[in-house]
Amino acid sequence: MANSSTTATHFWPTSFKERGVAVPFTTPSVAMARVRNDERGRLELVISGLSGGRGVYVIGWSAVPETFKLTVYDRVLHEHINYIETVTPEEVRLAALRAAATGLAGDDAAEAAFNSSTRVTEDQIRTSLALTQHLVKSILGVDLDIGLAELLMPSGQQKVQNLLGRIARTENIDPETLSRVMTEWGDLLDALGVLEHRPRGRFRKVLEDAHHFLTSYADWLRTGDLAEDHPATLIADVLEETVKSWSQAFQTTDDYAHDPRATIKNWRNAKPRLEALSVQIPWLEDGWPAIFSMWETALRESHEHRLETVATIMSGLPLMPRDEVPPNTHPRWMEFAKRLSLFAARNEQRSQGDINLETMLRQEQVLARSLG
Amino acid sequence: MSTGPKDIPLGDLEGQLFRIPEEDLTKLVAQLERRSMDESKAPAVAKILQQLRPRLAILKPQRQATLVRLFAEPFADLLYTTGEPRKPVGRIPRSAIMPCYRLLQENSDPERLQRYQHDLDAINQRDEDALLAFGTGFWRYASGQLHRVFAAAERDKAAKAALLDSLGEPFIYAALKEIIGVLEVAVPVMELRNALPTSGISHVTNTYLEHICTALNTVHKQRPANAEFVVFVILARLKNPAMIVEIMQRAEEAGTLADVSAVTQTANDAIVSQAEAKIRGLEEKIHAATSGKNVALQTEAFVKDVLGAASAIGTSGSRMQSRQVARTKTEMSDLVRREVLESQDGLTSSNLASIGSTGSASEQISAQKGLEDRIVSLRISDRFAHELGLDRDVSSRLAELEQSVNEQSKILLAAIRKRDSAALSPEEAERQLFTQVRLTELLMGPEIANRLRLEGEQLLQDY
Repeated sequence: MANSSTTATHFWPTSFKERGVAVPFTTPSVAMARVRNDERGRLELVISGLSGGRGVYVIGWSAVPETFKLTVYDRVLHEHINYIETVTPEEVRLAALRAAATGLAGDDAAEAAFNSSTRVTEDQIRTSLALTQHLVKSILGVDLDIGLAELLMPSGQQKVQNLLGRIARTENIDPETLSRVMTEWGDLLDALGVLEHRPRGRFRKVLEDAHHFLTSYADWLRTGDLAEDHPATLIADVLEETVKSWSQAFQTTDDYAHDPRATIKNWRNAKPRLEALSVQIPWLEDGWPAIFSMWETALRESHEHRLETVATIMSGLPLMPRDEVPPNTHPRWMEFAKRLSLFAARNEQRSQGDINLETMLRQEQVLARSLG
Repeated sequence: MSTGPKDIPLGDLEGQLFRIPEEDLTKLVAQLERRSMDESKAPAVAKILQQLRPRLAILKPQRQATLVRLFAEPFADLLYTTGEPRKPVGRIPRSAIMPCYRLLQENSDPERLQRYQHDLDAINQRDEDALLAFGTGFWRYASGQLHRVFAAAERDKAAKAALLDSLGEPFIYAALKEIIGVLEVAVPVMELRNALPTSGISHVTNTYLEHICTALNTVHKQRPANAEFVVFVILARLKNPAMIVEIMQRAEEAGTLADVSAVTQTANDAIVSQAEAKIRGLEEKIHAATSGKNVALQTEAFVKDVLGAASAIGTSGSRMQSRQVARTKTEMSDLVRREVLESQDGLTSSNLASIGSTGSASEQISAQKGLEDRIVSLRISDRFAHELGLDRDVSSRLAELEQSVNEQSKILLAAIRKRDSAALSPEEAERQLFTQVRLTELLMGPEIANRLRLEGEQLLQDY
């Protein structure tokens, strides 16, 4: 275990890879910890606020079960993550879904994992249909009023093919090319959603949750009788700044849908940009769904519990990496990192001892909500 | 676009509570408050407002500026919701507000009340100073009018019978007396309320103590007998009522004019009475609870309160008060044994039997959930069992559960070793293994549970 410097720069990663991916552990002592690849590609845990220390700690992944007393679910999750070669938010999410499906983190988490896994295929079809409907409306001015059941029938498929054929003729595009573009585009929008269509897309829903969080959190900051120098405002400050990047990314994604004719014709250029966005957005949002879920639980509990939740969130507050924010915002992000390092120095709260039953159950609820 | 209050899905109020737009919530609350003026609708409205309370506590929306709201503001800390027709010392049931306010209306000059409402409408509701200045006159008038009616009732049996009849319940009559008491000293009480944290005070700083002394001294100069209402407000905001003894000692050292000894005795009466009331409150909560875990957590909070009461009384209370607290503890112990422990024994046995059976998936899930809830509730109960003399009751039940789960785990491992997939499919074996691991973890911790998992998974590899 190596204690890094306590300077603010250690709380401000340079890249997403350095920041790592939030691991949805249910053991309270490792809540908000992250996993990443080291320089040689090996996995390591990044964690702040360990008892007796004031900085960010890095622990070899294999040493994690020996260093912390983990819940059984976390041991299974640890094993699943151990198989990951390149850490990404999607890989860690899949590992969490597999571990939660065992029921070891409670029935709610198992049900959420099951629903989330089974919904994927249906959501893919619905997103693909939404994109087609959007295209048909934009180019032909026709409402493609068709449900999922009808779409799966030969007559439904024929109806869609006919409309796509009309678009191909109108736009002078090879039908096969159009079909391929629509498939690729639909796949890329799978979790991002098509603007103003259902399903909303998993990542777009997180953006909505962010706005809800900011509202309820602001209410609490206003009425919560907090000391003037309480660091809780940092969470809202960081999220507000982060949401700007999310909104920008979704805006760019939606710009392609706003002008589908140009997107299809320039698919060679649009595809890599959309691919990059579909990789970037999960990294941008990583760590926040668990935070929103924690806060949603805390809202219904006591003021003391809300304060504890704030401390937990602060222990793993995801700052946007230096390479991912515009240079003119660097001073602002540096200030966030300084405030975070000051808080970490004051809040050495993690315990490596016995697992508190209620906190573990609460973390399981957080897991269930964030998988849902 | 925000939805109208009519569109708010009240059926899922709990789930949507924190997602209702502020504007809609404010409208909804205003509508509900208007409806609560109608006696027949008041109970239903009170239930909905109770559900909204967690959000309102955080949002603190601008409420409708009504005289009834201003009337109740000085004693807002003392309010509680109960289904029982009685009140503990130092607390005022919410159900007393409307009958007492109607009494004020019946005994006031209507034009004067209209003028008050008109003036109130003109005040910015976030301007605390303006509200306090306005309230000073209104509370003085209200307490004077109500005092006149109450004093007449105290002097004349027929008048008292008529007043009791109009208020509906004898405990409302008792609440009226305390409402008048608070309104008579409303200004120092309100100044103190504005100066202290809204709830859960765990440490009284010198600044808070200064405000407390100021309130006690002001009230002592105006109406010495009303000092108890200042103490009731402080008590309502303390995390542990036992702190009141130390606060009063510090106030005495700081030279307060109030009769500290008398005030402490009143505080002790309130503590004892409120502890007794908690038993009834606990019984209500046990019957309304949806899980054993919640029951155990609520019981634990009550036990802490009763222990706090015992500690306060132990330092400064009378022998009679000490006996009352001891009796409360015994009642609580009996209640927990009967309603929390024994009442669930049958269901636990049946859930244990279902776990290893060949019942449907939904039956298995329901049985597992029931068992998990039972284990969690027992483990929470274990933390306070000693205080209520229930150590053996709780530990024996935990031990029985451990034994049963261990035996079931052994039977399952033996079945997996047989590798008879016709009798036990690999999928079902794995599902049962994880169920046993989960129960073992909740009962005996992750180390033992993980060993069971590893052993089971090893065997399943060769299945």
